[in-house]
Amino acid sequence: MLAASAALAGLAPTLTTWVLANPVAATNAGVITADVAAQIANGAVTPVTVAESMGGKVGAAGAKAVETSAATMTAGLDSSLARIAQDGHALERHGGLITNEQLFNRALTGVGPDGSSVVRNGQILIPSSATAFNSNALLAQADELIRQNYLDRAIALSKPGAQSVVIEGAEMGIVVGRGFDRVLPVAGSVGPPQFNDGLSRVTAVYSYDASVKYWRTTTIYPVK
Amino acid sequence: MYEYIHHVLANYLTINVEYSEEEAISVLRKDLKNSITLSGELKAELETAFADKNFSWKDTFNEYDVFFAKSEEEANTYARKVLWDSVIRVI
Repeated sequence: MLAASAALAGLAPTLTTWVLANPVAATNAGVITADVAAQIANGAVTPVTVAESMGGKVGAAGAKAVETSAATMTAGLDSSLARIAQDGHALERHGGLITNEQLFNRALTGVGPDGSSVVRNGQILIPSSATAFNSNALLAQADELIRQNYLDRAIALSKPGAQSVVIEGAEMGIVVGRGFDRVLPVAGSVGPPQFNDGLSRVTAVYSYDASVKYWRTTTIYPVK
Repeated sequence: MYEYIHHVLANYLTINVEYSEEEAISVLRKDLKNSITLSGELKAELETAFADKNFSWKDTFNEYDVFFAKSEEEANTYARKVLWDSVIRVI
C-alpha cells in the first residue's frame, strides 16, 4: 500500500486525481499497474494515503492539491452514481454494497438483492451469473469506460432503428467484481453455484431515451 | 434471418437484461413507437416467423435465455402472446 501511494505521489496532482478516480482507464493507459489499480479499487490506496506520501516529498501545498481534488472527485462520483441510479437497476442489483450471500441466493433462486425476479410464462428464471462490482466507484468507472470506448461503436453496428444495445464482456483490465455462476436457468437445481472473485469483464445494456436524446445505462454487471 | 426478432429477444426479453415481463413489454412498446424502422421490421419478421414451420421458438427462446418451454406449441403461444398481442397489436 505504501509503495502504491508513493508511486501515485510521484505524479502531478491533477494526474493523481484522475488516476484515483479512474483506475481502470489509468491501467489501460499504462499510467499505473494493475496491482496499483487493484489497491485503489479495494480502498487500500486513497487520496489521504497519497497525500500523506506526497506531503513528505512536495510539502503541504502538493498534499492540499490532492485533498482538494479528492473532494472534486467525490462529487463527480456521486453525480455519476446518481445518474446511474436514475437510468436503470444496476446499483441495487450489482452495486458494491451487494453481499456475496445475496448473490448466492440469486444464483439459486432467481430473487435479486432488491427482491426482484424475472418471470416468463410462470417460470422464475435465473440469470447466467449473479454478480456485483467490488465497489460503486468501480461500477461507475466501468460505465464510463464503456461509454468512452465501446458504446458509439456498438450503436453504429446495431440494427437500423435499434433503441437498445448490449455490450458483452468488455475487458476492464483489472478485477472489478465477483459473483456466482448459475447451476441451471430455472430454480430448484441441485448443487452449489461456482464462485468467481476475479471478474474483470463487464456486460452493459444501454437504452436510448428519445425525450432527452441520451443512452441510459439500463444495467451493467461483471461477467466471467 | 429474423435479425430483429433476435435483437428484441437479446435486448428486452432475455433474463440477462433483467426486465420483468411487464417492463420488457412496456419498454419495447415505447421503443417501437419511437422507431418506425424497428416496428416495421419486427412486425414483418414476426409474420414470417409465425408462418415458418422450420423456425423454432422453443430453441430461440432457449438460446437467448428468455423462457424454457416444454414444447414448440408452448413457446409459439408465448411468442404470440408477448410479442404480437401485447406489443405489435397495440402500438
